Amino acid sequence: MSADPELGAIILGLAEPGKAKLDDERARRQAAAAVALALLPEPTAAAANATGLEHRIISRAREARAPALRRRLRPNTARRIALLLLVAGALTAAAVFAWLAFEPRDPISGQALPLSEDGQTGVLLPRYEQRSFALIFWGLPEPQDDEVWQLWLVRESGKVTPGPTFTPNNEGRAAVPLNPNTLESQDAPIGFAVSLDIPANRDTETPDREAIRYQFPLN
Amino acid sequence: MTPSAAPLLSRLRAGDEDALRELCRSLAPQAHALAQRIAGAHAAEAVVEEVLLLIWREPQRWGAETLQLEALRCVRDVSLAVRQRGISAASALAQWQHPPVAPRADALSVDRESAERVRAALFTLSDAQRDLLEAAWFEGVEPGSAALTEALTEALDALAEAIGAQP
Repeated sequence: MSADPELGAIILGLAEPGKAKLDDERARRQAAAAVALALLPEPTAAAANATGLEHRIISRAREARAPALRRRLRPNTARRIALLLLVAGALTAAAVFAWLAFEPRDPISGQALPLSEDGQTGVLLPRYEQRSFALIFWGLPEPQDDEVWQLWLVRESGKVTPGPTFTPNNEGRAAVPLNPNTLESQDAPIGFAVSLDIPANRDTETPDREAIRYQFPLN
Repeated sequence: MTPSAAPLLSRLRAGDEDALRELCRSLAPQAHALAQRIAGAHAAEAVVEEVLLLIWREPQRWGAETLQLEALRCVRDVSLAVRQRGISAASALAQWQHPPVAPRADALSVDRESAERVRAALFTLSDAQRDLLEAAWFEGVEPGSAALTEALTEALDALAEAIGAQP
């Protein structure tokens, strides 16, 4: 234990790292011991104006969203205008195609339905040539390497059924094809939900409420 | 043992405000008490606010197993800089760098039970070791001499052992 006599000072930020081995177990135990001292002051409810502090933090957080979102949801003005034009164009085109291609009995009238939730945008787009539907999303954060998004259909009865899993591209876009049979039902769909796919829950038919990230009602 | 913050960090990355609220409620009381002791009541809230917002803005910088410990370490370092250099919490945080060593995650968690363990462990140390550690952590005193630096290392080893040795 006599090696690295300066280790404690480095751990406490009182000396610059020198030749000491900072990745060994002793250093990590010392680092834990040092930060343990942070637990000594007694936290009290009166110590912080907890509600005011929380409100300020949330308020500022809204101005400075996490980079993964900010990069995608706050493009420069030109990109934003282009994006809006693209969405408007897609909606118009989809509505025209749908009017031409779908029978009145189609479960969803044939018009593209814009969906939006907290900055994320989705469009339910009829694909008239295949008589199928696709959900198009913009602005979804990129999941971690081992994660994918899971789509859920929320039905009028309150029943929730799993849809496909999907991964957005590096610009947060994803196209999720939907089988029309999943939509043509007496129990009509009233919206969609998107959750992070949890491998342990893959065999279940019900999403983990904690894992739901976005909900897109069909209005 | 500190529970993994991986799900929380994942939600923060996704921009989930509820995750930020959870982090705030779990960490802010202890972080505020720490900042208040080091930097004073007038600066404590600003320190906590800046550190929590840093986690929100840059969740990828923090270890899932050590998030709360690293966050408290950050609060301590920023509080010291505010007091010693008279700068704002935001300025201090802009200059802050992660310490060169990540703490072991299985040693303790940020809760009352761990705090009691740490207090009990401190009382197994000599008065000199206890005073030295508290001065170094809360006051940021310069080690001054090789002998003092070595004493600091021995005191940290003793505290690490005392914390780890207890049930």
